[in-house]
Amino acid sequence: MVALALALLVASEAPPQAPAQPPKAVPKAAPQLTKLPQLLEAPPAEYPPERLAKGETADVACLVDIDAQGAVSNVVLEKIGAPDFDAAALAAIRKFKFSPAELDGKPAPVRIRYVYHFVIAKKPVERPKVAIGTIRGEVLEAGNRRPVPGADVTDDTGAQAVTDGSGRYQLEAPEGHRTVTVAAPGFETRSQPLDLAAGGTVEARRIWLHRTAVGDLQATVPGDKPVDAPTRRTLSHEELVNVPGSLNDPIRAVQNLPGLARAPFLGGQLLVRGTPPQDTGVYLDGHRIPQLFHFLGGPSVVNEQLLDRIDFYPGGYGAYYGRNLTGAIDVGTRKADPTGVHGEGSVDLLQAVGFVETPVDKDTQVELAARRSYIDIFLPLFIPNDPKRGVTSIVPVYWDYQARADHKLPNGDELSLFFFGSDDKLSIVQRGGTQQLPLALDTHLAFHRMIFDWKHTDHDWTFSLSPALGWTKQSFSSDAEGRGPFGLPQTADVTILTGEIRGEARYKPSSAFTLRLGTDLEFDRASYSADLQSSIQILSLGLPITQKLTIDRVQPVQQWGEYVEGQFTLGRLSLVPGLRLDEYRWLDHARFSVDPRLWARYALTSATSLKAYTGVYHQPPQGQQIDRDLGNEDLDLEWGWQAGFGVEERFSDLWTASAELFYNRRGSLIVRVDPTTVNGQVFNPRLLNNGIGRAFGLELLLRREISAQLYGFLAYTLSKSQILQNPGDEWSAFQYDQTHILTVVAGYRPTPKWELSSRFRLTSGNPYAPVTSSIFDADSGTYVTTHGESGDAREPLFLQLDVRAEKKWIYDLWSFALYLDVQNVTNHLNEEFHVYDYRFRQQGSIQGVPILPTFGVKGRF
Amino acid sequence: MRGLLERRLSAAARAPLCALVASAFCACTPDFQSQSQVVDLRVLAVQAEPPEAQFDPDGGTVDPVKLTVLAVDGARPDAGATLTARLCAATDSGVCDEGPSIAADTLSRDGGDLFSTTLVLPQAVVAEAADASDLRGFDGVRVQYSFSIDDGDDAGPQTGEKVIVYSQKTDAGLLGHPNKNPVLAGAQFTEPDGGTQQIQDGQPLAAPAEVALGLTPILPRDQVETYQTFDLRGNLITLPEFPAYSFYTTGNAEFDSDTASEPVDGGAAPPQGLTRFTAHAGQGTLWIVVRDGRGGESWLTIPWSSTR
Repeated sequence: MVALALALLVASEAPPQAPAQPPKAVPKAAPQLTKLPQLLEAPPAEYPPERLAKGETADVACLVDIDAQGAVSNVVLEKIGAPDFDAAALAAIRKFKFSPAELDGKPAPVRIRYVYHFVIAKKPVERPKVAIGTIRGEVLEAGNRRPVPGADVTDDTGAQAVTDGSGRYQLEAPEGHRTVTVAAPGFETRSQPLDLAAGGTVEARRIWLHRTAVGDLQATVPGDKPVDAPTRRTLSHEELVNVPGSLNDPIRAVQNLPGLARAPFLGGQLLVRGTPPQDTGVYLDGHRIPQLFHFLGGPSVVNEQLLDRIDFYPGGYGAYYGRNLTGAIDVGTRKADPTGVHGEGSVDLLQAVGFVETPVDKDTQVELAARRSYIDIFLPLFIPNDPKRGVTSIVPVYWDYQARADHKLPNGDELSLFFFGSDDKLSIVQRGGTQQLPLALDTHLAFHRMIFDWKHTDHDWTFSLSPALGWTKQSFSSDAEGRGPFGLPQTADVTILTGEIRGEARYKPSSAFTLRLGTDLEFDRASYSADLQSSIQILSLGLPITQKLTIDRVQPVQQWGEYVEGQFTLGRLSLVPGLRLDEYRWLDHARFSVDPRLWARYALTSATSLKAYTGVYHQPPQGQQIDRDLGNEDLDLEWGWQAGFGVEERFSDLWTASAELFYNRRGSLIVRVDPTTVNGQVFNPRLLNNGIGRAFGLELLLRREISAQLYGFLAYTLSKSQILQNPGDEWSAFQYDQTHILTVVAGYRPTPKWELSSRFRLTSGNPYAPVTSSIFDADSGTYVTTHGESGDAREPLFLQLDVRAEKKWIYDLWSFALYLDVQNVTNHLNEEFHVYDYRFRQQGSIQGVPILPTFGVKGRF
Repeated sequence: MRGLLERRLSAAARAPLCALVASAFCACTPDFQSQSQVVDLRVLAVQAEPPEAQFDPDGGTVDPVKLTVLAVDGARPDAGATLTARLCAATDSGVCDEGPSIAADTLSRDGGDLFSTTLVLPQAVVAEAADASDLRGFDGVRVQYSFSIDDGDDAGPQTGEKVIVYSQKTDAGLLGHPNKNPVLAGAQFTEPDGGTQQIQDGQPLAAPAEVALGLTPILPRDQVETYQTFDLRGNLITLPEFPAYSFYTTGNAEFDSDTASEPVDGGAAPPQGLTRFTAHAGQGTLWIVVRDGRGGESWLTIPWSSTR
């Protein structure tokens, strides 16, 4: 009568009050669910008498929290139904006993979805005493071949059994021709005939169950991650994967969260709290990577099947992360599924993607993934071949790969080895016209990384060590006719060898105190060459218009980081002071930074928390900025000071809200300066630490966490970001200062085979400096302008609605899905950039993405 | 309203293509008029002869400079026009709006494309310009000739500026010979079948309609100078000139590229030319302006006619 259904739930925006379990050493991949909870005791509910008399039945869906001992700690209705049925189900479920779920082999609290079925029991069938045999079998979910635990198995004589955690069952039944019937809530019922001999054992054919209700055989652990920041916005895989407008790439969906400004077009810049992309660190499993997205707003460099979660820290994070002024985004990958061989492949207009995972033995798993784009091959087929009008387009060509192996040692230590890499270049597609433009462009960025990870737990101590090696190559060259940036041959090439070591020791003698000690070391050796044609001209100085610059150098850079952080829990108050020290060395220069950080959280009630934070952050100059010809080797560190205050409210298990005020002051920002003369000599440092920035605002997030059918959130940011370039200048608006940023995401799954989702965005237009006058410059043949400050004018409001629909076809061994993603479904004309004609008399805008349908198929086994 | 509607329809028609191109992350841009098509009053070039004049601060002598302004009205070629100008130390805005300035002669013309005048600056004016510049005359004194031309065009007057370089005679040994204006020997037009014809300045071009002719300006090698100057760190460096071209035309014709650069390091121009010129029908005039990148410039004038 009763069976089990588990559904994927979602971790909260910020960690709720920590459950009684040891936090992990570093914020990396979440633990894997290695054992589902099994229902051991299920006292029956009291059937409402009137319903029973009328012969009425019902299904009551609940969300059940099971603690590490298997007891029910909390149960709530997922959907309100008849009050008498609901009350009876809740009362019964509170008395249930389960076997504990296990994460990485250890008992742990989980949340499951449980449907209590009120059915009227049949009278037991009187069975004559006959010889019996044994039927064994296995029940798996169709489409993904994962076991279905808790399924009811009966035969035509009334014999009963329940499948275990691996989907297996054993049934004692009378000899003869039997029909085995398997039923589980949320699945269709399947029967199978077989012949059973007296005293014999029959292995029944595997039974595949197809879903009839929305849900998934997985569970997650709320609050599992270590408490490492006052504000951490986490999106789970399921919440990420089907957000419209993300081009089927879940990592792009993070750009919908509050604190992130909208990047123009389909761009992937991470514009956190009114600061440029370089102020936010991008990490993969705790290690810094050169880029998160492929060129020109392409998909992320990590296959979505490896993705465990994305942690987005908009500011105020602890001492673990450093060398950035504002935010951090850490993408965590997962271990391969230990239950069997699985894989996925997908094909769409842009790319093909493949993924496979398999256990090697009970302690070892491996997974592989690869991606390749082919837009450069297909785009010419769609561009009209009009001899009167040629079309030239620059398109990205990219590929990436990942390979990860995990192994668990007999002493419980965990090892992982992760190889991944990415390659991007730009390709020119030309079609139509009478002549092909003699244009050549080579922009290339490739990187490869190898990360080794070791974790060890010894009583109150947890240790982790993660060395990494990397190779990064970036090159640029152009050779074209015409003038401007591509007018003359330009080449630049840099190769960087990177060695990194992250290590941490965590000591937790009690639930009230945790100490973290860690190192974060990075050693880079950059060898680079450049052959550039500079076209700098300062009219008032009259210096050369065109100048050739050739360099060929090797530049080592060392970055030494150490941190310590204590986490104190004093009743309702959590207090986390931290200190991070960094040392930077390049050429014969050394810079040091001391970053104290502090954040606190106070639980007003079990549902309401207050939080506050303040901290200092430092960031070194970027590589080219400390070159003596391209930049200024004497540059100093940039610094930032952040402070914030917020409140978080959990209205129910499904609805949460948060509000946060933030202020981010930045100084010694590196800005470009014009040449001048000092004592009759030219003084041209190119770059100086002259800039000051400030950003402040309010972030709101209202979230409806994933349940069986619905999920979504509303994010709103009200902010202002300004820059003061040089002493004596006026404050001007940051390039992507967007006063209002509103994003609403909603998803709905009416059946297991359909998912509909939508995203609506409304943001303020980007600021720009309007041209106030222009004059023809006879020496260059172009027009010289005077203009106002950035922020004197803005582009119009940005407004866009995206929709997505996905249909699945599920077979026994595999499934496939067809999806359609339509961006800007209303074809709203959004103006991204303000442009002028050649003499600055006519004005116009570069339009954003028009209505853009994309579709693709993906298969899974 | 009709124009707006047409633009919206045009945008809608482009949407499918833009959708695909946008997937390749290319944006649709507004349809501005091409820089090379002269349809109203435009300033195309200003030549100073010599482009680098000499002055002797001790002797008080300053070389005279002849200025020639090429200003064309594509709609009203015969309209009269006046040019008013001021002289000052070079400014970033190109306008004489900072520091002292003096009025230059007002010039007039009755039709035609040119204004011409000769500047004879007192040595004191050059000295003032040197004092007013941020570099105090380092690497030459720059005097800015800012002007406005009005021929009654509805769009209003056209403004422009030309920086005239005055170097001290004593610098000649350090900086080499004074700059000279580059002079084009003609232009080569290449037909699709490979046939070519060379046109001299002022010679007419018979252009077959709707045929893209490759166009390569002919710049003798000795017109590309090597010179010495100071880089942005104050170091003395030797550089070759990087001549650049601008193409203009009146009438119903177009270039597929408004500008081009002379192939560097002695390389050959591509066989299809540095740009393509396509005349549709009728007649007009095309100009090829060459600039050496440090103040020297000149141009070719080629009247063209085309029949179907």
